[in-house]
Amino acid sequence: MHIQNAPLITLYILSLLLLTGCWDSVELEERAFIYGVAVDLANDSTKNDYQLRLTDQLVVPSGINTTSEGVTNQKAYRNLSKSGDNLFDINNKISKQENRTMFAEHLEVIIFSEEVVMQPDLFKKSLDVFTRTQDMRRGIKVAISKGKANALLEIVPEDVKLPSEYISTLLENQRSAEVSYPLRLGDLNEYLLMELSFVMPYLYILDDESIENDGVAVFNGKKGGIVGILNGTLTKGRNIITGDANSGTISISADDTKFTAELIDNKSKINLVNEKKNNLKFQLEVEVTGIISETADKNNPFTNSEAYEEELVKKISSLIKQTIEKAQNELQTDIFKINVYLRNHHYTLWESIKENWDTGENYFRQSDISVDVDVTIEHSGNTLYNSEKEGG
Amino acid sequence: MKRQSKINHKKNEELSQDNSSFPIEISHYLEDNINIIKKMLGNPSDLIIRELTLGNQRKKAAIIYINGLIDNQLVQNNVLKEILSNQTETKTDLLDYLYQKIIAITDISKVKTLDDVSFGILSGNTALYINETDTVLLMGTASGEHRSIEEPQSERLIRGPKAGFIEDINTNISLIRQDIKDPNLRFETHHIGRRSKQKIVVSFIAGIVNMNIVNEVNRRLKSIDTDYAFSSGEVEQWIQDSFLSPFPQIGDTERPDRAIQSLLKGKVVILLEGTPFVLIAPITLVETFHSLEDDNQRWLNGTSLRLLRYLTAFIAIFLPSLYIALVTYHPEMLPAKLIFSIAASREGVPFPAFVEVVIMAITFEILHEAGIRLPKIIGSTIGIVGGLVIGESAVSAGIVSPIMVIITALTAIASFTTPQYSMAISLRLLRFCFMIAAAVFGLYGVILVYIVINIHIVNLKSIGVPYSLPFAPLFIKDWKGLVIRSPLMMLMNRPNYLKVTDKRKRRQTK
Repeated sequence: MHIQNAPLITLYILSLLLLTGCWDSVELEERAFIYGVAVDLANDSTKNDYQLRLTDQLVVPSGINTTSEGVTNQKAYRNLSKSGDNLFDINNKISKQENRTMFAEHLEVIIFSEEVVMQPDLFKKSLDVFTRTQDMRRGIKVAISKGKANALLEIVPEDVKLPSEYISTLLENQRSAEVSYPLRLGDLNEYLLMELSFVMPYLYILDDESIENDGVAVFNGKKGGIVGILNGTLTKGRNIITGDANSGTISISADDTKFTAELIDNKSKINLVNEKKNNLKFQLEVEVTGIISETADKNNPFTNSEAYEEELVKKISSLIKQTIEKAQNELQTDIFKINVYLRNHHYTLWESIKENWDTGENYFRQSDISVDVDVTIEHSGNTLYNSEKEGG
Repeated sequence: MKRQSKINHKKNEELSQDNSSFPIEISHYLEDNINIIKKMLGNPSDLIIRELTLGNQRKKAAIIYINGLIDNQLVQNNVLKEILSNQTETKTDLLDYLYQKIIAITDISKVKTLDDVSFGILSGNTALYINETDTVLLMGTASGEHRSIEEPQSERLIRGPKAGFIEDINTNISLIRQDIKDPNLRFETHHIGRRSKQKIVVSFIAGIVNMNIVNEVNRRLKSIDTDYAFSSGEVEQWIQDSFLSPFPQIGDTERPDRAIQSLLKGKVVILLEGTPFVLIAPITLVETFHSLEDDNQRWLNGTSLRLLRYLTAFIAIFLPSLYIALVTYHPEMLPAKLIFSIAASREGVPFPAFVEVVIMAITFEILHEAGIRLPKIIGSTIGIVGGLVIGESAVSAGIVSPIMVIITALTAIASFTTPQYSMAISLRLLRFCFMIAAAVFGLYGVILVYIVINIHIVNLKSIGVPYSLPFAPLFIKDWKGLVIRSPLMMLMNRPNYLKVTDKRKRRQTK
């Protein structure tokens, strides 16, 4: 195997590699990572001509480094804002201020301010850039903020260096039943394309160092905007109906009884029982499993858990009723994923009603949802509590 | 090649000219013979010629040997003493009488050519010349100095025999013989080295081995034409299949147990005089990651250790190139927090990632090389200089990032887990190819080089046996013994990829 002109061939190959290569190479220290984005209405926007204000949160790596000697009080982020017509254009404007290449593939959260999503179709329009651009991931979390969204990107708790990281982990924390699941950009995009209604996490600033995730913003798919806010308690009701309340608590505090149950499991099943368009009837079966975590009740939870279960059924039923009423009458928007159920199980019916499901004719509002609640106390806790001590 | 053969040709002529000044046959007269031997060897000071007179016939004789190569005790007691004390006997054929009755040495032969005599003397035999006789008695009295059997330094095992091969080939052969008492164990001897005339022994077990492999090895060994094979490494390079390949195509070992295991698998073991490293052929890629430890431990441990070694081989080859590719081309492929902390550690580093990696990798290679070359006592200082001074201060001086030090260290340690040292150094070399590819094309380049190497491996052969066995061609039944280490009950048969004659290895007793 003797190759003639071997040195020449090697030279060709080497120059092919060395002269053409490296065109996509950007060193890590030359990149600016966009970690969070906030979208607000600009101050100078008028009723008909909306101007958006985009805030990019860029990571400053040297501020993150905790290993170096001496605790630096350097900020780990840098927020840059600009106003303009559309987001991609604004982002381009922002890059004029930044010495490094902007890099959005590690984007973690997008926060829209309430006023942006309240405008019909503006939200949908401004979301396009996040789904159309190649370097956006479907796992980016989307949330709605009360007040200005860019203010949230300034909240730094003591233990987290990046506000976006704080918001992201905050959204993921599902220990309470009064919050919604984090909304992924991919799912959001699907809902928007199918024009379904859904709920979004709702954040507001508590103080300089904390944000609270409480309640949900209700988005009406047909109207293309936020129709209202569901507070924490009703969000819990909504989560129990959809079977999402796998953690959190339910407390009962009446004159004669006072206890708290921790939710550990929640299942729900919805069934269409009457297919008449104007009088749709749904049968909802909700199963809740809980643990007695705190009690000042006279009943012994160990021997008499039925009494607790009864109280819980009562409480949950009224909560659900309240929630359904709010959704049907006030918001007039399907927040219980009944739309998804109908689409999957009664497609022809859904096809005929989907244009008027929770707008216009509003079949959702006219439908009748009856609820059947079943509560199981799985165990009564560790303490062998007995208020009726026999013989002292 | 043409040029080389010309040189060889010239050499041949020179050598034959040297020889032609001496007669081929042994002279009839002792005086002549002694003179010829003296002249031939240049009358060295260690050439001992003991002249004596034999029996009633008053025949002149001489014992010739080279001091230091023979066992003095043996020559004195079993040869000289015996001959001198049996002076009274008279026989017609004195040489035959001595051969039959007097000399108390088992390994004794009659030779008739000067070439044989000189080779015998130089190999440590003692020659007995008798005046007016054409035949010379050559007595195997070779002893020479060699070290005792020690634990092999290059391949250590926790559980396993502590014996290693030594420089003496006869000891090495006996180490193999001791463990396999099979009459089918064969040792075929060749001599290589135009000037050194070293013994090289091809060992195999007839009845297991595929004879095509043995024939091919013998054919290749016969083609060796060199002055002196300074180690088995030279023999390896003479008989390997592809000299351009970065991979070792013939295994080497210092351990008799490994050699024996290979023999029983149906392989050929080549022993060379003067080196403790024996060659094993053929080998495959996957076998270079096998350690005897796998078989010595219980199968679960053996399998997991083997899998660990595949992982470390992957790390040793790919880690630096993955770092370059991910950091400069694809930062989106790492979790956000990891990329931020890498970015943070890279703040202030003046070099691009590739240069940083190359600096550290070459620094490590320098340290490694220095550590091997230095005497043991100074060797430990290399660790201090390398680890503390260079590693620590390079980071604090801001020349390299701490992440880079971790990657270099992990890569270095990982490359030492490969049991076959020749494979480990090949992996080190390949690492640089991957690094360059990663710097030029990112992950795309890494994959390209990976494909190129795979194509090469599939084409590579070891003594005509595909290197990529048992993957391609596929011998899926051999995977349980070669890729993982299955329980012994599942390993009843020898791996079949070498087309062994006797497939059964273990039998279940009923």
